[in-house]
Amino acid sequence: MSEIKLLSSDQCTIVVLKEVAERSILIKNMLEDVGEVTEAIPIPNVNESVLKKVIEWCEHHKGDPPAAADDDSDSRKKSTDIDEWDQKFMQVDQEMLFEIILAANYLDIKPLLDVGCKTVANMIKGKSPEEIRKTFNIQNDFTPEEEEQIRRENEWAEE
Amino acid sequence: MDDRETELSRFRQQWKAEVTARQTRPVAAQPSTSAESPSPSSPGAKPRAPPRKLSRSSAVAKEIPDGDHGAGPAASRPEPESGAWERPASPTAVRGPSVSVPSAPGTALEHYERAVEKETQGSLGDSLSLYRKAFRMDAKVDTQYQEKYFPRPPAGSSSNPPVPSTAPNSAHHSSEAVLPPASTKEVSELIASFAHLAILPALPPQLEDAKAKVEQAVFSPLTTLPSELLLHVLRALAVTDVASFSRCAQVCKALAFLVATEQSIWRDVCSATFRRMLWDWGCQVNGGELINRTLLDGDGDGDGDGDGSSPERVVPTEDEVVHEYGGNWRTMFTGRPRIRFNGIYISTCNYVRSGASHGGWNTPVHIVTYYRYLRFYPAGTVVSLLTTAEPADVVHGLGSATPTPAPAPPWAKYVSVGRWRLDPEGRVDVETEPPAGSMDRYLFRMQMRVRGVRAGGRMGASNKLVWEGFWSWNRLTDDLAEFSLRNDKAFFFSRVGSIERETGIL
Repeated sequence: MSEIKLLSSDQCTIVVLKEVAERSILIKNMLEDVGEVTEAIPIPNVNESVLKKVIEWCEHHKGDPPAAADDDSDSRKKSTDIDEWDQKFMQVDQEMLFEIILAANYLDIKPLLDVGCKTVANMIKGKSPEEIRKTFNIQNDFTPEEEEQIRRENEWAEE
Repeated sequence: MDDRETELSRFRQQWKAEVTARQTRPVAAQPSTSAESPSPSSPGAKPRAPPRKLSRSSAVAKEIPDGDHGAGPAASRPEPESGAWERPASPTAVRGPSVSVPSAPGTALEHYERAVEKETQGSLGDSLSLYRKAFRMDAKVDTQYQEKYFPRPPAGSSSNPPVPSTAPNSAHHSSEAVLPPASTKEVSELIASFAHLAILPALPPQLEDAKAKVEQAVFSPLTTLPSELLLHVLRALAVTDVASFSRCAQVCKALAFLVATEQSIWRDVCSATFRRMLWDWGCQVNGGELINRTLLDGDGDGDGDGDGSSPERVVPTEDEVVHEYGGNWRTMFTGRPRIRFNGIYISTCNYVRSGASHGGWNTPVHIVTYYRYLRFYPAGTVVSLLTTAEPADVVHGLGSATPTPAPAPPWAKYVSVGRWRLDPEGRVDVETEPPAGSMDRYLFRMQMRVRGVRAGGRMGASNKLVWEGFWSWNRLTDDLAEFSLRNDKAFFFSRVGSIERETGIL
């Protein structure tokens, strides 16, 4: 089993199994293009702690069957449930959670991106607008009248 | 001919005088900041003196500098014909601030004014040469003119342009328009006005300010998330819990705009929702696997559109149906009939029964209240209950997959099971078997129609079922008998938290 080296944005080298690293489509394509590499592959957008976290996920999921070509109808059906291990994996502070999402997006690891986005969606689910603002530190930029109008506009959905 | 000409011109003069008299001309001449130098040779560069003294002066201000967009006249014309052209009958008279004293023009501005006047009179040649002169004297004369007749409101008063709701992407400069008071604005306009906050982040609108401020104070990752990832999050939310997704609109302006306009998400919501509709029976009445047996086989009463054993029922496809809703998936989601699974439909019926009179001097009456409950399942089954038990005692236990608490509620033995189907026009057929042991030889059939009922300011989404018919069928004798619906009231849908948790459907 061959290993490759990844270089994080803060210049840390991480050795990882090729099979694990290839959960990232970005890295997979890169390796296919350049063939064997001995140099560390720079991952300029991801720092060490996040990269390690992402690799942890990739290691756990290295055996997963490759995602069917955008079979989103299926993933949508199950979109409430996040696998138990993933749920635990995502129990990190908000900053790390969003860093993971950004890294998964950059590295093109779609299942991880999905899990991350679902985790954020679950943080929104069932909350009142004010609770959502508090959770994510969003400023309320409505005037009271506007807020009331928007509330009435969306009232039907609460029924 | 001549008579008519003079009459016409007299009439025109009169009208113009009238218009001039009415026109309260705002006087203000701030120097413009944006340099606009339309090509004088292009007729498209002329300021189309907008039709107006309208109340919606807001729309006026931003239409003027159209020359500098490099677009042809058609493109730069205010495209929203949404009531903006107040008197389309005679544009020549109304358009353009009429300058009534035609003395020889001196300054560039005066040339320009004359040119406008000529243009409104239809003398395009004169007008054009006057425009040329004006521009030769001052290349920015059009902005002067604009400032004179259509001054901008003081900067910073408010930054929300009322963008025409039909074309929220008509990218005009936003910060130049006045807002009517928020309360009088249409919601669609309001939402459209948020578009700029999201789409033009280069302008420093309030939203960005606010977010920047917040960010300095506290970490706020959601606000900095790239928009495609924000959409990813919202999509994951919307397909599992559309109510939560809708609620996001109340968080801030940018989200309000997204929720109202993000068609791709609403499209996914629609396909996830309407995929669960059954356009024909999904099972037998008793919930068993479907074999070719239909309740109303052989009913010859002619109501059978698709009741026979070979029903050719239409299975609508979303992409076709959405055209009925103007291509708007969100409208389709709220407007298109559907069956809801995350709660219970309840029909409350009252009737008055006179009681036995004892003394002869009073007549007691009983007001009897009973309820019909219906709960639908995506698999095609339905449970039905007719009882006097109150909703609070029923909704959490009815048809629940988890066994009801140890002492079965008194109504439990009256629950009947059945099946349902929907047709594209919103007709719901429900067939139920009575509970075992009571009336084995009968099947019941209800026919209802999905309606939305107004909640607050808006139509609710498919939250009502109105009766269209109710029959019993004697399986032994093949008799079909219709019930009177005298006492029966429509069903109203109620979301039930325990059902939402149980099914995971929202």
